[in-house]
Amino acid sequence: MLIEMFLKTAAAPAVVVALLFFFFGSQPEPWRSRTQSVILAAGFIFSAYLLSGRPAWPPPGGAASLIWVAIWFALYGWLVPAHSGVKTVYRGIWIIAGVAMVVWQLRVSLLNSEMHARNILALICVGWGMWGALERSIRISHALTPVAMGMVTFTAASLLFLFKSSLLMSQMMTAMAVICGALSLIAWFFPRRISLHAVFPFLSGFMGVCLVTAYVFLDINPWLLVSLAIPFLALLAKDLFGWASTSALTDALVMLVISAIPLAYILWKVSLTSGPLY
Amino acid sequence: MKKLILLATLILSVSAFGADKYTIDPAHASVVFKINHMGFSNVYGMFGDISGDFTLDEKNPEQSSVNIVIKTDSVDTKNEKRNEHLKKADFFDAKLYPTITFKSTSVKKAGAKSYLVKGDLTLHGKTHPVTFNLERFRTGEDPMKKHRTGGETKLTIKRSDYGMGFMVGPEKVGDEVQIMISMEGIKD
Repeated sequence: MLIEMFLKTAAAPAVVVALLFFFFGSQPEPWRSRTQSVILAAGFIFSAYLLSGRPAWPPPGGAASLIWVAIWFALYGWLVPAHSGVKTVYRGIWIIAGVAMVVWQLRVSLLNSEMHARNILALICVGWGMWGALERSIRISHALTPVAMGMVTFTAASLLFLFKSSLLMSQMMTAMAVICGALSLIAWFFPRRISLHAVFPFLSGFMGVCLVTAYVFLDINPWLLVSLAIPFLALLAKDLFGWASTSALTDALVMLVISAIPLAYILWKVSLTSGPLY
Repeated sequence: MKKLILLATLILSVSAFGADKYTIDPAHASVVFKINHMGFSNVYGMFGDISGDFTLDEKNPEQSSVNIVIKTDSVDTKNEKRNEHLKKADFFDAKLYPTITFKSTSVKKAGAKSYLVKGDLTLHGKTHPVTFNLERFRTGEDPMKKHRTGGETKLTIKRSDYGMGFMVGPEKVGDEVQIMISMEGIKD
């Protein structure tokens, strides 16, 4: 049943997203970014629809809100053109608004708790910082590396959410991880066919909103959630030290190993205390 | 004028005598549910925190009413991990929807000791009308001289109607949930 669920809700949407990315990847900008943003969001939404049914407004819960958050980030790719000047401010606004969509129904209890407000703000900053790290990384990295980092983060998030009692959110993160995996192939073999401007909001801003959702609805320790940003920290360090390989595969593999090892250790420790679902 | 006041007082007294208000005794109230697990078997669970009240009018049953409030995070299926899972976003989402409520809209006498109760069940933020037959048990004083009455009912709902559609399927977790409610009330 789990294999069937994986193939239906994660693998199938990922294959379709990758094919559509390839097909629309030859378009000139800004249409390439715009269409690829919409394709990426549609892939996630289709997967979420298969998992939890038709989206409703207002969303009935945290996980259901992520469908609307995906649309919100597709809108970013559509409205904010690549290479525009004031992107940092826009990014912040987009993440905060995305978080507001998720936590709106719990706003009274959350705002009454200084600790919750502080932690949510910190996780927003993590998402914002991840976005910045991705944008900086393409100065010296190949297109494959940041997409592969996104895959590592979503995979780790999937396991963490599974250990912390949400199969639905875990499966949603699996869908995103598999989509990132499929996009990694495009980024490796046809790097000119992928618009990183369309992909980055989902790897960082959307991920930031997922972290807040997990904090609020699954009561996951915020330090564990922050640790999911390790691959992006590795990207920042790579940029800082100016390390880059001429081979896209070597570049991505080295970064993948560097970021996956600490995440695997953290997740192993969590699994010892929480364990998978019953 | 005096006669009018007297008449009004008399009517009020009669109606007051007619309707008895009871508060649900949490120690003797059970909400048990049954759901199919992947077609292999049924899993039973219950809620530990139940409160509410009901009014019984023997002479005029249509004036009776039932209000039940169940704390969502009191769900218990005898498995700690599953309880945690049920409380989280995949199912009850207890943080967002801390209570399940039932509020009757009409009560009719259906037999010597049974009532047809219609009302609104609010679960997971969604409200749908439900109907059930409430079988009344004994009414009288307990050894502590408290006046009690009680009853039991069964009803079936579809969890997907209430926006709890995750993992619904014949080889997953059942959509239909059978609920058994048994409760005692102590007369105010």
